Amino acid sequence: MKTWLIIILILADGHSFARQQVKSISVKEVCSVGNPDGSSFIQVGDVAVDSKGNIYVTDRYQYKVKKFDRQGRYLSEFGGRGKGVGKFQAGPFKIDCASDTIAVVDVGTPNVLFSTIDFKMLGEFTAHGPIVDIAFDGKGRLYAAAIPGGDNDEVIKLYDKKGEVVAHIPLRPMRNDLAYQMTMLAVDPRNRLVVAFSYNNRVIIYSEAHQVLTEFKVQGLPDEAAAENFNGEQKGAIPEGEIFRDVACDGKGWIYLLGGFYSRHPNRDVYVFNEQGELVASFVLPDESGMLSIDRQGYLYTRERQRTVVKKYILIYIYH
Amino acid sequence: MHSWREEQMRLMAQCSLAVILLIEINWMTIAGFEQATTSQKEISLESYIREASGKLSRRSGHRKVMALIIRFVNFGCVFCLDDFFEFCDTLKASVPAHGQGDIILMVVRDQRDEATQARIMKGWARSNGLKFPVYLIPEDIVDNYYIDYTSVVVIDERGTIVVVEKFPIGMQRKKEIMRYFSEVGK
Repeated sequence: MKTWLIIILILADGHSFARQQVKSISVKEVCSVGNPDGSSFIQVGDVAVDSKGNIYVTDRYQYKVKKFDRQGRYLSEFGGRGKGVGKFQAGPFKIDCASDTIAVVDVGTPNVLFSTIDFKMLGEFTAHGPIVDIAFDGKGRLYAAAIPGGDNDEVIKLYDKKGEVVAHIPLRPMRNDLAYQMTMLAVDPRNRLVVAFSYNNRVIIYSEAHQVLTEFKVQGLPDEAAAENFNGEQKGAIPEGEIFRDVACDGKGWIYLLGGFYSRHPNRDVYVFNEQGELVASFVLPDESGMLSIDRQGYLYTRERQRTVVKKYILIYIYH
Repeated sequence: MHSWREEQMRLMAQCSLAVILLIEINWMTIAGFEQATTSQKEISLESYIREASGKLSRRSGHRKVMALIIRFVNFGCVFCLDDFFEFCDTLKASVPAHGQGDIILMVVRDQRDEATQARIMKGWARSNGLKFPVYLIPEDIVDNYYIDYTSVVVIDERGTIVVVEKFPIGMQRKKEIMRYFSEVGK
């Protein structure tokens, strides 16, 4: 009863509670997306949610984007292997949704496809390199983090829906190895870009004008992933294990970092920071996940059971 | 032809890097790049292919076998997969069913979680209309033949390897492979 009262108060005015000290955070499962026997997905890639709470899941080995309602019931799907409109050459990978427009990345490529939430194709564009992550900003523009190489030495750019570059995001790499420049993206309610490195213990918050506001790290994790040389190539070291698997922001502007290989509970530890880069709390997911997503209503999504199901959780905050 | 091949290999190398960095790297990094624990040094590639095919056909000792050997490094390599699927589409169209040989998919067992890898590969094959039987083949058997990319291997009726080609494969060579596989053995 006490827990539900707290939840109701949080939903009523989450922002004011952001200033209070959090004692602990936990999750409670709302629903599971996909059949329990794992037959809905071959391998879940990423998850996005629209304004109505519908859930979009990429499954690259099926070359499909599947849509479910807020209770996890299947609605429709699109995709398939191919080069035509609405098709994927390598498979759908990262996905995001804003203003009821969906953006999906074709894995291993610089290609982004846009569609409506009813899967009407809107167009596509080619970014500056193989895309690692995408995130819509509050104005419907799309950040794309790519692997630098060739003529491209930039990691993150901001694009409009026509694929025109709107902004270049300044990013100082800690080392030149390509893998160590891989980043994950999230945008908070104040339209600030949050960048977390996959293989470096480093998180950067940018202002809307793309100036660095804060940079922080998670105490207790190494500064960077250990590396082994990539035989036969001149592309630098290949890291062993991610520092962070994903990053997400909630309605309060808090930043959720999913810890990777080096966390105490690999792929389950979630570190929560405020906009000043101060640790608010941490919690452990029930199962290993390689991604983390938080929708506008504050529900948290993970992929679990060897990436065969998506879980939807409500976040429970206990304050002092 | 030579410069085309060089360009293909360059693109494949770029794709491979993107794949290694992006795709399923959680498998690799968590598993620590463990090799298959079962030593298969005593078993040749052709024997392994023949054995797998033998599970399909009682006439295994007298049929050609085409093994499409899939290496994980190519998954997410658009260029590699395009060529592979094009070959498979042509196979289905040009090689008569129950024709002169068996066609099998062999996925190189290079992930620690074999059960998950097998499940994913079978699901992937099914989702993409590849109706060939899917087998896992130990990595060291394939390594002994320097098959480091997705490739097609053909053994003749006597069980001898007659074709080893890595994707992408030139159009002319594809036709030669199809023609050989479709011909009645002498």
